Amino acid sequence: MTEPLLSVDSLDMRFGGIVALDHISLTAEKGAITALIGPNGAGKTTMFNCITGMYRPTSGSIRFAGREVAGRPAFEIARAGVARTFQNLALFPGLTVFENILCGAYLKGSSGLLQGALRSRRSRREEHEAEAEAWDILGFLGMEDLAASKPAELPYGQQKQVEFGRALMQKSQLVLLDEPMAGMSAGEKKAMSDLILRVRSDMGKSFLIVEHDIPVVMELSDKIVVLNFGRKIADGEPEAVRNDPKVIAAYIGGED
Amino acid sequence: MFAQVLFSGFALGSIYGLVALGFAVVFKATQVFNFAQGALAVCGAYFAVTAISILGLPFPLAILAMLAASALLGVIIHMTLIQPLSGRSMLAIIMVTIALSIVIRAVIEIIYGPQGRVLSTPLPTGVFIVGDLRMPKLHLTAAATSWVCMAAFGAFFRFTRVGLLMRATADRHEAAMAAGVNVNLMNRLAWAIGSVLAGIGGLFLGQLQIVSTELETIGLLALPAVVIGGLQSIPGAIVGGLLVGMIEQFSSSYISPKSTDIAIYGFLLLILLFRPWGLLGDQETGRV
Repeated sequence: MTEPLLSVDSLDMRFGGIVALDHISLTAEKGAITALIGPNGAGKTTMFNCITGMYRPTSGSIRFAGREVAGRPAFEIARAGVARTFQNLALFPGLTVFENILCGAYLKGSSGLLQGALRSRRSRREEHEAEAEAWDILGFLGMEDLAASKPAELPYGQQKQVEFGRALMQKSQLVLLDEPMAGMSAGEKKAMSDLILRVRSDMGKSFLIVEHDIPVVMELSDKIVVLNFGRKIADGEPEAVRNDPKVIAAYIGGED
Repeated sequence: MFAQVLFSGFALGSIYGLVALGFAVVFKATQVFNFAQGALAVCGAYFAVTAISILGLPFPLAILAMLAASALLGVIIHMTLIQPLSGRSMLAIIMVTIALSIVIRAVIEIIYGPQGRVLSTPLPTGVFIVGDLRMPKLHLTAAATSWVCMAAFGAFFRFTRVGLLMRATADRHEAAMAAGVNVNLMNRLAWAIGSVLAGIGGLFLGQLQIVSTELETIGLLALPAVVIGGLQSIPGAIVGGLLVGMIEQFSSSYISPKSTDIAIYGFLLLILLFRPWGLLGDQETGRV
């Protein structure tokens, strides 16, 4: 049996006396869209921060692509193949849209800092390739004409797309999206869903998604993990999760 | 007289701009308001004294050694003082930089003694005379070198991959980390650049005057320069440096040599009152 792309095992995250994540285990399979849902304060973003190395988990294991990554620095986990977007957008405001996306390209650039600074032939070639790829991503997102804009000049939905584009640029295997549809209209949500599906089929990426819009999540996901107050209360296919009485009591029932 | 004062203001202002640029690079990257920037300039001057007068290295080699020592000093400061305190209050870190400047001054006086040293280099020392205007070659070399360095670092940030990642890191740490950037490495590099630029400034200040720990006061003119130019702005640091040089020379010539600090800090006060984000700063983020 092959190992899942991401497997989190008995993960604990405590901040002082507060237990943010209580012995959580979950997996994300290669090629799948896995959703992480739960009411506010359930620990979804904390889980993202542990997986991406922004937080050092108190205990437990996080295996990605066959390697233990729990507690590794964020940039190493990113280089191992995990990209992410943030709940409140984290773009580089002083850089253009094109440069924002280009930044995602250099994590694996094999020629080092010194060569990059001295502009060796090899690093120049890598830069040309990266720039061509950034144009491809912009084309894929349909944003080529916005390349020279600054992020703040774009509407919120397009800023989210830029951040998504940077994650795509990272050549990662797994993309973590933290509320990719927050603040979007129904039409924009549909476009974002289509984009995620298109990226999965065209680029073969896997996704772990935190999202509050339950109908969208049910439609999009292969598997759903439900957290509540730092505990996992359900894990399974959308249909099974939808009908789980614990989930309905904790979350979906509360919403309806 | 006007042209003469304008010339010396421009030459000295170029050096201040260079030191201020180093300050701004460090501030943008690590949000550290570095009160030791003047002390770093003094270190550069003493590194040059050590390499040239004490070790007797040939001039080009001595300059390389001085640049390497300055860069290493910046890296060591970041690794031992700044990185361990990251996330602490700005006040704590400012106190550390003030302490650092005092310690550097004391260490230098222990090693080299309290008297100043003469820095003799093979740089041209004559005077160009155009009409009434006398332009010492040393001032010209200092100004030209400053502008070459400023242009080179401008191009580095604008056109290279490392420059792009440094700008990105300065903009948003967590996004840079998520994109696979080794943020600590980028910040260390910023400190190396800041220290090197201060060191080059110190080299020229030590040439124009005498090498002593008193140069720190001149190096610290980088602080009013960056605040006047706009804390978050790289071109602002250069413009601020030039302005400080001009104000210094004009007040010295037309009012009194004792009036320079009053004029510089008086202008700084006006900026803080009426345009606290600086001449070229960003009104949203750059307010002092």
